[in-house]
Amino acid sequence: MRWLARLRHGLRTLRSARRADQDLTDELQFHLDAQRDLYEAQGLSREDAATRARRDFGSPDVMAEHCRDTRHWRVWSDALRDVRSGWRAALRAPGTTLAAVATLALGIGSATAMFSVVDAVLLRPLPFATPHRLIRADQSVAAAALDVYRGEARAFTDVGLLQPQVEVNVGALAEPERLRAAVASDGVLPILGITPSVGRGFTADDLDAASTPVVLLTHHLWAQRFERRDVIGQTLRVDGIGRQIIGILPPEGLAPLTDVDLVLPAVTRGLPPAALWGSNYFQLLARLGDEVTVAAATADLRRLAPIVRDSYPWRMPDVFGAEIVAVPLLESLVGDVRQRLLVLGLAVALVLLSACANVAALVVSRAIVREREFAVRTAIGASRRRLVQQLLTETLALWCCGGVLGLGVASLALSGLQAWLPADVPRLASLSLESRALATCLGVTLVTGLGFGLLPARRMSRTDLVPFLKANDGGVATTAGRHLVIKGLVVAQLASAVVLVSGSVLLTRSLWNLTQVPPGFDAEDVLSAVLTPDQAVCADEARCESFYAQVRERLEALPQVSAVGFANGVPIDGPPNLFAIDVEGHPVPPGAPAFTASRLVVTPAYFEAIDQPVRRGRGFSAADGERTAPVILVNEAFARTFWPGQDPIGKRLRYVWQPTWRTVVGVVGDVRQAGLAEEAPLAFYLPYGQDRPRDLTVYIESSQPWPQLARELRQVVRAAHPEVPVSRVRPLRGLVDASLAGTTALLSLLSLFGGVVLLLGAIGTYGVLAGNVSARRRELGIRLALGAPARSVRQLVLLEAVRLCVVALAIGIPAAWWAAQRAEHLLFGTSSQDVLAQFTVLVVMTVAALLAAIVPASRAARVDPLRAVRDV
Amino acid sequence: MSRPPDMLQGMLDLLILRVLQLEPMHGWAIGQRIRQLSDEVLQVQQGSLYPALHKLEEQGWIDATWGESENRRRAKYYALTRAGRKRVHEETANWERLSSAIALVVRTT
Repeated sequence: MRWLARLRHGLRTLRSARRADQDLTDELQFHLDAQRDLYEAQGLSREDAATRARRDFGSPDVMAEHCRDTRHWRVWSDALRDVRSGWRAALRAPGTTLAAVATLALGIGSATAMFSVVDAVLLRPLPFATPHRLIRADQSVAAAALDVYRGEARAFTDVGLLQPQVEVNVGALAEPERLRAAVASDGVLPILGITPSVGRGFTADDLDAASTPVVLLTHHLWAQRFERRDVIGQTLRVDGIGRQIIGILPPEGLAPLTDVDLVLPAVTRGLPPAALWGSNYFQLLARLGDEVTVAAATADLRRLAPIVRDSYPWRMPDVFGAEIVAVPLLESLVGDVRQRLLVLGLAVALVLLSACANVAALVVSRAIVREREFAVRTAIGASRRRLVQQLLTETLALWCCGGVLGLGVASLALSGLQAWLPADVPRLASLSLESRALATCLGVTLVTGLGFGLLPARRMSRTDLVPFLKANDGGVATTAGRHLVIKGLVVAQLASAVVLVSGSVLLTRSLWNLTQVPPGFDAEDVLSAVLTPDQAVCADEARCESFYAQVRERLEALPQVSAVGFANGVPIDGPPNLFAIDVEGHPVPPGAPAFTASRLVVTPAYFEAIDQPVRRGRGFSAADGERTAPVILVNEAFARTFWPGQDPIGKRLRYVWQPTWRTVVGVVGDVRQAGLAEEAPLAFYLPYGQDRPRDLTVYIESSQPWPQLARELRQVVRAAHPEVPVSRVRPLRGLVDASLAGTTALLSLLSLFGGVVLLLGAIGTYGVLAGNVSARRRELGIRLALGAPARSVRQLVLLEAVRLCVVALAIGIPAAWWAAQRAEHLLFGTSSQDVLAQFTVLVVMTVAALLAAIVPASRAARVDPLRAVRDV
Repeated sequence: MSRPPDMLQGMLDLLILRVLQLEPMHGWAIGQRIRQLSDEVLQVQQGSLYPALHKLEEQGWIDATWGESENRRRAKYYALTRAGRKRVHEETANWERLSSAIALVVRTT
């Protein structure tokens, strides 16, 4: 029970420290009185007795101090007392305290939020079984190659094929729906360690084209569409084929690998060779065997490359698959985003540093005011440790307030980041503030609080006593050390601002350069939508053609529609669809890889609809069809590459697997394909009669507002055939903007941080200069009294500001240069050596410093010489 | 100011506890009683009595209440806790063992 008594005693002491002290004083006084009475009884006079008693006892104050020292709760009661006195001091200057807490909250909150993002996206392991043993190959493989890998590979326990996202029609509903599906072989679910919650996964038999078509549902699709549990065995129409439902996946599904509504089996047997080896390509997933390293996996894949190559039913280039690499699954998922996130992380770290430096400078300047108090306390015997303890406790209390508020800022910042980061950042949906984030917040608070608080505390406690005990205040000399600390902190802030501003300027230039890139077409007033008729609609090619012809005629009949074109792809939105071709007159040695170019099948009005110019020859016409001569259009890049300086009209090329030569009848302009930053690929175009892909994108040029146009489009399509889904309806303008989204998001965030840090740095500079002016008041007063013009006094202050700026630039510009070099692939049309950018940064920083110096400078010029010289 | 390394000071805790075993009393009285019981041999250093009392209270061996002294003044009375009573027995036993051991060494050499 002893600990209970101790606890009670401790709490009592903590709660009413003043009462406990009073009790102690009373107790010691009682002793003194009793001793005095004793001496009085022995014959001394009252005063003599009292004096003797006092002398025997010693100083009651020192005794009381010793008694207090014995308490183990001393540390806590001292800390509590320090916090209370700090709270009172804070209340006396509420504005500064509020600013300090807000600044800390901003810094700690954004650091916590950023850490949550980095943790969720980059650090947290994937939710699969032993995720670090999973790899994905960086090149796609043909469907039929699965059996080769399964039979011959030595480094893996199992191998699977996956197409993470395709779109399928799911039918028999009021509105035909377009859903996302994954296509997977039987090994994929076991590799990931996922078992269906109901039913079974795929088996090797399901991969044969001849067996019953099956499908796996994801949990949310089942919850949406079906009420009963026993959906196993029911049929679902997918792309016109009835498929038997054999299982339901658990609620997480295949996340974060892909987010789909259903899973179809990959077909690796039973189709003609062209389909198995030529047109169906998959990602290769595998689980490493025991003690197999990733390097060994890569070596094994490369060893198998010639075997796979020789299994092809036609000749493949000798170097086929020689560069294949096995990449750990997490890295293959988030590798692209890593650099962007790290840049953001650096920016946030600078914001945190800046915020802490700002508040630390504040603490030091407030402590300077109390120097005299500390000097006196040291003189009567306070230990240095006690003073450091007090300062540190007050600072930590301030930091903890900032940290608690920072949690609120963090949750705001987190939702902001989730909205702001482009949607292609993987695993973004799983962001939340949870225990790891809270622990980080606490850790960051304590570490920065101790780090930034210890420095001023130690400097303050090493006060030189003598100048303070003199009547004179001491002047500049003794406080110079303190000022140096503050100056250092302000310079650190300004240097951080330099780095961030420099990054913002470079990104702004990149963004500007990107917007200046001509995409090759005119996206104004064009609406695009994807039409995906399935087998029911397009039982044969003639029916498909007539469906599209109907749609085209009806759309052209709509008012305000100037052109309607079709194509089997979309510009800007993704990597080009490459096809292997033979170009007449450019033979390829056997075994070498064939030429590739991007292919698009278009209707004649396509070029008019998106305003892609025809530079030479002619475009397509309605006459170009199945029965006329095979014709082709190439783009300028193609013509430049293969026939520089010659007339491309009349030249011929063909698909590698078809003997038909096609003649070039015209040259069209280049169109960017994989985003604005990448050069336009070599491209050739076929007319829609001579190749008939089933899914086409329609482009409608019209001056009508697009929501209304979209409605009319759906009506038209439904009238032509009710079961054809219309998906991805959007204005073409949106595609161009979307390709800039990543850079824009990064730029806005970086500018926001840069602005905040610059503001903090400017405030810090103002503080330093103002402090400087008030410390040098006497000197300035003397100068003015001796006849110096006000202008020269102002110049003194401005020069000080410029000096701070120069030091900050000297530190910041090399740091910014280093950071820009690391992040070079985020920039476009500019680099770390961009002179204009550096110059801009210089100008911005100097202007900021001078602005911060205006008020102190004018205040310096207005110093009253008489008062300054007289006052001490 | 640290306590003088005196054997008396080291045993001060035991002396205080023994005195309080008889009856609760305030600090001054404890000092006087130790002097009396030891026939004026043990004069407790005033500088160490109160720190020792406070340490014992903080450690839970003794408990303090405020009451009225003989001459009607407010005084702080200390009393043993139950744990303190046990401790007295332990410490006394330890002391007796120690002192007989020392006596053996001193007498034989």
